[in-house]
Amino acid sequence: MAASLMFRRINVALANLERTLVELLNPRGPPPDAFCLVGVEGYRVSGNEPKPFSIKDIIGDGLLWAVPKHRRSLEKRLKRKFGDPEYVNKLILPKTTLRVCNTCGDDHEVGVLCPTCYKKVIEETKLMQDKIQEELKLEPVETEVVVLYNGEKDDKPSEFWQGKRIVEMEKERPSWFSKNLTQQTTQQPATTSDVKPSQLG
Amino acid sequence: MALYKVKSLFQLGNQIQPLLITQCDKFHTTSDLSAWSRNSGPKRWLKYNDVIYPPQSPDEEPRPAFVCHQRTNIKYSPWKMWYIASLVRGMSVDEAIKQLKFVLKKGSKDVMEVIEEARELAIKEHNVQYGTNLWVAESFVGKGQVIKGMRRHGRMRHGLVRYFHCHYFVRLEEGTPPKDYYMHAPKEPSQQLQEWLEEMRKRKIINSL
Repeated sequence: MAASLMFRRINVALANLERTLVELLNPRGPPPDAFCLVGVEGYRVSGNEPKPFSIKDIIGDGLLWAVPKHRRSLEKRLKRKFGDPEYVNKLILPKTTLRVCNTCGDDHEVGVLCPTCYKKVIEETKLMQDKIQEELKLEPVETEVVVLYNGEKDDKPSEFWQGKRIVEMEKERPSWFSKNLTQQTTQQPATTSDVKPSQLG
Repeated sequence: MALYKVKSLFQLGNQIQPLLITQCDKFHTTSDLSAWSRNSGPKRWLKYNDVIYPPQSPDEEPRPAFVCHQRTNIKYSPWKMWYIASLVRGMSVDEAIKQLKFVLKKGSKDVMEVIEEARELAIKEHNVQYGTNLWVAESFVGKGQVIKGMRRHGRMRHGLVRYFHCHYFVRLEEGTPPKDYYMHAPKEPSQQLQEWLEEMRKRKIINSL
């Protein structure tokens, strides 16, 4: 009973306060009707309004996939076309690995036999191979085959050529073809059957 | 009267005959392009060889001898030939020929031949003393005739095939080649340092004393 009375009195006091405040703020009476807020958007209630339909909702940012974003500048285009040291070098650079052959004076790459000299060797080898083929035909090779040039057969006695097949080339020995090349090995045959190193430990 | 006419015709025939022989001589050795059309390639480059310069006074710097040479309608793409032409620019002739021997491209053979021909011309006609004392001052490529053909693709589709030809121009000059033919040669470290120092000293702190 006393609490409800209290509440009623507080309410009344608040209403009086409100009235006095309004009177204070509006000394010339209430404002005219024109000052009323009409049709002004206040707080909008966030309801489920239908959004306008757009393809972007389906594809997302898909319309901008795999498509150029900016124009390629002329510099970039020319670099791609003709190459650039800082991008991808397409230029042919001069080779520093070329050397002069001591025998013939032509140029060749480092680590490669001089092509002009090698060509001569190839031709001579072919002639030798043809001659050997002529001599041996289809027989199996059971003895050593020796290729001799003009006048070399008479250098050694006939016993030297005993167990060997001789192929005679009807031409002079080329100046660059040393006789030592045909020698099989310079190492002397072994005298003992000991395997080196022996007497270890 | 009739006898006189026959005699003159006979003489005329004798004069025409060698001309016909020389024309028929090159019938099967010319390239395809000159078979149907008159060989109308670029001619302006070779006209530089015919320019006669006035004599120089003794205190003037001697004008080096040069020779302009070209080869037209080489069956090779001009864009691919450009790389070979760029390689050779600014080199001495010996170095150029040596490098071209090791370039694994079709156009390198033609370029090498042109440079060798130009060197021969320089010695014979352009008053160059030593064939070794030449360098490649200018070397560039032009687009030649383009012959269009067709090729078949699958599904009844066709493709256009373009057969490109190019012209190669070279100018050999007498003397030793310059150290840096292209302007952007790398700077010396001392020069770089000098320039950096100058840049640093040029700076000003704005609104300072």
